[in-house]
Amino acid sequence: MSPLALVTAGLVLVSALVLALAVAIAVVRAVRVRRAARARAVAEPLRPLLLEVAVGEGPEADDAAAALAALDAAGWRSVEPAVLAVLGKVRGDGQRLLVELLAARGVVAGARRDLTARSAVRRATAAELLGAAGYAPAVAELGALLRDGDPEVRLVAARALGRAGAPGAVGSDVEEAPRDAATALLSSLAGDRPAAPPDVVARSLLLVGAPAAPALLAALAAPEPLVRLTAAEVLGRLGATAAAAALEDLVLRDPVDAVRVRCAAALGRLGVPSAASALRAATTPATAPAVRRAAVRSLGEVGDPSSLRCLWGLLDDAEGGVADAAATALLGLGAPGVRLLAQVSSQGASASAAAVARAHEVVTCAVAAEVMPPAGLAEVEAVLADVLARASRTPAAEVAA
Amino acid sequence: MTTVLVADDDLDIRELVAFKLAQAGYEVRSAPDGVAALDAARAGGVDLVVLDLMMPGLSGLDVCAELRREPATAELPVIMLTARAQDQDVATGFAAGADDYVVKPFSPRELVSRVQAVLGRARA
Amino acid sequence: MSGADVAGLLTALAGPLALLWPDPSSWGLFGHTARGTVVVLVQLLAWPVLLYVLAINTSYLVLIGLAGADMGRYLRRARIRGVEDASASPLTQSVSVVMAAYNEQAGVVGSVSAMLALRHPRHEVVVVDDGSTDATFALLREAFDLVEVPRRLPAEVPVRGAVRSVHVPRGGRSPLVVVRKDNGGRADAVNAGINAARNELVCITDADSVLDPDALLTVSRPFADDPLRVVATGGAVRAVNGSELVGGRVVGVRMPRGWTARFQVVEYLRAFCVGRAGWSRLQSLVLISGAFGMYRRDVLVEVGGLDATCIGEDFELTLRLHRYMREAGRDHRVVFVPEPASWTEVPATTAVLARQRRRWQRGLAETLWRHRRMVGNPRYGRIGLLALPYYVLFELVAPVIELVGVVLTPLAVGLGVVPWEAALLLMALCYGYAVVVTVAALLVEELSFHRSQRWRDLGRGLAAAVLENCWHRQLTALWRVQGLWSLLRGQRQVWGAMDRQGLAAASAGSSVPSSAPSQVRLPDTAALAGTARRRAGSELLR
Repeated sequence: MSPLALVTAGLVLVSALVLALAVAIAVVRAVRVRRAARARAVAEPLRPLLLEVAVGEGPEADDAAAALAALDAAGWRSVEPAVLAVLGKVRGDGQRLLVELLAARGVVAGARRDLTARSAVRRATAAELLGAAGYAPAVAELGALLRDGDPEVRLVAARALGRAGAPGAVGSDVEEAPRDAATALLSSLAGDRPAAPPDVVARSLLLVGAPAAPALLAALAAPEPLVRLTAAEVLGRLGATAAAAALEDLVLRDPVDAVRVRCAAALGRLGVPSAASALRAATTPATAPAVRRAAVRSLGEVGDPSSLRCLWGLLDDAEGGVADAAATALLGLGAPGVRLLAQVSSQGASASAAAVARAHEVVTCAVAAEVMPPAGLAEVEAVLADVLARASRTPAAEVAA
Repeated sequence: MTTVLVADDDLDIRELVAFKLAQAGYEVRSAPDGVAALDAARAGGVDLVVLDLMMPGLSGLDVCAELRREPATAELPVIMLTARAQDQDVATGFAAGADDYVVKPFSPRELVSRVQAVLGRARA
Repeated sequence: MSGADVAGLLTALAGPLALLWPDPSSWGLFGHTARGTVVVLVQLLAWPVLLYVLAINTSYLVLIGLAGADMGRYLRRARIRGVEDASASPLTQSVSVVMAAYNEQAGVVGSVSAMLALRHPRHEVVVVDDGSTDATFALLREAFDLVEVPRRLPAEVPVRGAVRSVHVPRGGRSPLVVVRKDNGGRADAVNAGINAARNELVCITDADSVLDPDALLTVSRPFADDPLRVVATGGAVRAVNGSELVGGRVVGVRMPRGWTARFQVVEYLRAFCVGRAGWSRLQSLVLISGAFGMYRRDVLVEVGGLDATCIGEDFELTLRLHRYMREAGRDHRVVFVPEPASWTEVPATTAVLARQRRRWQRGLAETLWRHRRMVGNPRYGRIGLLALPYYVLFELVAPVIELVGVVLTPLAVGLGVVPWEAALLLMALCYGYAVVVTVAALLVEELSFHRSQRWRDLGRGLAAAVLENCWHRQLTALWRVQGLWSLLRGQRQVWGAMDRQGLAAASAGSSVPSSAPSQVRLPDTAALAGTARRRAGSELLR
């Protein structure tokens, strides 16, 4: 074939390709627009029925549910996405009715079957649906999915367990579900590598809530540091004060620093005053900086006045982060803390230059930004007045206020 | 006729709440974002606002703060309806001036009860 | 036309066309006549240029195919992404949005308000006023009721322009921090913002970027899914010209009016398909757009933030991240999220566009030169062996080759070396192939995110895909070559010119801190140009 013929053939081919692609774009768009319009047209009149079911009150809701359950395949196909969308947004009777509707249409059973499908996307979609439905009976199967080969499936399963294992979930066997979900979630973090991202697991444990507390407490003694720190994080956010003693022990004695950091943070969230002594002990210079920072921050949150002295001593710590945290913690301790800061910054209390600068910065920032509560402002003014009074009595005194 | 304003960027939530409130005998107005919510509240005739926190444009917290700042709407009852459930978020919501705080996923029946309670307190 | 006529035409053209193929007997003509020189040049360069064009467009098609697969994968998983969950979860990693602003009084308040209104459980916005000389800060102060606080910023990332003051809204009403500093260029301002940022993730964006409400959640998803390895993610950037904006948010995507802007819309679609999604699928993403990228703060501090001495700062940062991680032996991922989450205004006039493209090509060349050790180096894995050589071959050199083709063809035709019909056919083939690539990218867009709704915009897009090759492509090639040339020729001169401008800016008002005079402080050249976009990014690199 001569070169020219080759070129011409190529040109013809290219032009045909461009035309074909352009037509393909137009066709794709037309099909999509028409399909969307048709789905909308079918779904529109059914929407009030769906809302009726979701609201879930009275005989109208049952009638509407029956009507939706009796729809033909095409009608159901158009309304199913909306049903699933609304399902994730309601609780209570409406949720129960919607799940019963899905069960009546075989969607729930289909999803349970799909949990063992060959395609990872189908397994994950099924898990997501069961989670959105808050379907407690599926907890065992979802727990099994945590050992799936595909990381995305494991992630979705972890997320779904949080909702399926939550106390408000739907279906029989609800008593066992939260405990089983918590156990499955915690065991997914065990081993060499976590099966699902730890913060997704933690979030799900949070959703499971108080029923997970016994499992979490037991997990504080697990051999893997990841399990311990996740358990500590969740216990702190759940406000499980019964765990305070165990957490205090871990803050001081756990071999892994990351775990100690989380335990300190959790104690701060629990706000149990008895934790203050353990937290104070965790601020010694021998401890790792991250642990000291977390402990100092938590001392501010716990709000125990006996920590004032400890925090004062840390204001000029060699670790900048620890000293900053100490200043912020004092601010958070309310009037006594602010008074101390004001005294330090005006050099009324004996302190090093670094401490003075830090205290001054924290107080002035808070005052300038107008985030200082009135009680704190009163303290600052009182200290200033005191300093001025002393200065007027001793003319040679230098005041840095 | 008691009028309730529902502000949420999620169409499903708006329609759900509107449906339930209409069933309970209230007149309902909807707003898809913060700016529209403020305009509707300022326009008057609104007795209670059901407000979502995370909306594009102006967030629910900003709307609430704005309402509290203006004398005409300072006493307007506000119920926050949001997915954010942590203690910190609840505290922030109340600090911004909300009268009640409902967490998503929510029970429509419970929401109506709270609406009735808040309206009852506001009238007293 | 009958079959015989066509055959006759083909035979007539076949003769002269044979000149295009190397014929050793005509080498003797070398140097004797201008025509002779052109003949030899054509013979030498014809095949390489044609093969190059074939190779580059085929590689684009391959990348588009990969991008299509990537987007398909992303979309199939849309239902299981759990964005709602992340938006409410207290464990979602906190984000600091860092925004550098220089003389942005026109849109800064709207932009910052929009950033504050993004959906995320815990985020703050850090605005760095890089020594603006207009009302930028005054407008911010009034809109957000700012008060100055004596907050010291940690010096974790080196910053040249001294920080003058830090401001927060009165009463802590919104999570906003405004830092005022001496002018030092965008990279320097972003570094100051990184220092001021307090959260775990840092999102670097521009004052003129428009973000979708869920942008932060979308782009931070990879960090949550793979927390141990992901160090940086980028999102797709689209052109916002002509689109409808309500409350700082894009509600209707439209094609802009001018053809310059339209060509860029199409360019951006193609570039993000080819340049990001495709490479991300191969796990060799080397470029995260400066208009919208998210990084782990601790890693950013470790590598030292953005480099203020380099023009292609976003490209340079991503390369440096890869290099640092590789050399430290740390497993890492840089992920591209194909969902469009950010919109930017593209230059509407050729003058501003020319400046931008020159700057981008210069930045590309500078960065590749600076990290030349990585090119072709197996130590850096796919980046070194695949991505970087590709960039050198098909990005750096491409405009030169294209210009050679554009210049040589009319020359050859004019001097009668090649008949015009043959030349026209060949050019049509080459550009036709390029149009195929662009329309393929448009098809992938239609199948995936289909943001543009109107039929007439689709028509305009197709027209732009074809017309782009008429003059826009050649112009951009020219500008890119100019950028390269200015780099090669004026390396020292460029620094000198910058120095002079820097000192002028210093004497004009902002007091210059005592940094070494040999340190180049790059003032914002775009400010001198007026409305040009300062981003020294490389959006359109494939």
